[in-house]
Amino acid sequence: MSAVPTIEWTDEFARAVRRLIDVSVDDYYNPYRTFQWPESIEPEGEGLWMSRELLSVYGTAAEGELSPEQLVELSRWESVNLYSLIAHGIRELLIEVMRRIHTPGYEIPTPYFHHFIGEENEHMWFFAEFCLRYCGRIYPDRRMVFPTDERSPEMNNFIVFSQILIFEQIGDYFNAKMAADEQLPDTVREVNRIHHRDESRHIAFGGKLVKALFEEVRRTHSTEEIEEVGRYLRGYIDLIIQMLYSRDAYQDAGIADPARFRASVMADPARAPITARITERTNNFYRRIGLFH
Amino acid sequence: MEEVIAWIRGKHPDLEGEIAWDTDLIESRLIASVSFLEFIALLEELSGERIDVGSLSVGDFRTLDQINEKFLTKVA
Repeated sequence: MSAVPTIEWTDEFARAVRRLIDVSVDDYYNPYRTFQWPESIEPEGEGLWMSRELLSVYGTAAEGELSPEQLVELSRWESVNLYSLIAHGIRELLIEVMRRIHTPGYEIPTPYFHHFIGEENEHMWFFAEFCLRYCGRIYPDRRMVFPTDERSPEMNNFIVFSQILIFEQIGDYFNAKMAADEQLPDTVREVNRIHHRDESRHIAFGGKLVKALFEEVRRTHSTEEIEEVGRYLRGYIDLIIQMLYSRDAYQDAGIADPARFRASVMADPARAPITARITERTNNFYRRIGLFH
Repeated sequence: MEEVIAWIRGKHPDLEGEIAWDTDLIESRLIASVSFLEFIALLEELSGERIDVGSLSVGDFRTLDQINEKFLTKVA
């Protein structure tokens, strides 16, 4: 079991939890009545389903070789990929939060966990609904979790909530941009806007939680162990970025040899500065708390 | 299999000696969860086929022998 009976929650953390609960209660909405769900997605502007600069091919040599029609198809299937990743990621994070709610050590964050679980369940529903309603499928999760050496409860908790935070911050980069993109269809903007609004609370909470858990890790682990977890989380960030390049999306967009196409797009030097922008917030956070240098 | 061994070595530049065909790649952390997607992409490129990860288990990736038999025998 992963409970942390020794964790020291600060007064500031407890105040932040109460504040976030108040906002969650004030902002509460019925997701099942919030969206209009038109019969079909009506194209706006170039007809894209996802902002052009968020497409995995943006800036690459391969982008110039795709016709406008292929770009539209790719944007459709890359949005399915993004929302599928979000749905799968939410399932995993819900499992971890469920393991901890109302367990010893989590008395202070537990009241907010109730709001978090409720809201995340609703996010999973509306992203899955979008995929199934307009594209007929959710892409499968292609990750596999291997059994690893037993870690201390403090380290395990820090890693689990870091993974949740990293996943939410990277997802929010996409949601925020798509919510603001007037070239996108209304329904696309709406699901991204609602998610971005709720996630700003979850990310604020996650940042405070991870910072508190990292203080515990620092108190109880060696410098070498902390450096090792830093390398592990950098690997996790890379994994999330790799998941944005979907072989399934390339195939469904009608691109020939999707595996080779994926490899060439990922290796294109134009992608490095774009990846740096996507991960900037996360890297800054871990620099600020003292994990990344 | 040379490409698979080269990929593992690329991930672990300090690795000394041969990787035996029955070495437990998971226990020895030569393949990790965070690099799994990259590893699957390599196997798909080598085999030319899409891999349905949902139908597989950790055991399918445990040794070079198992990886070869499961994913690359048809290619060879």
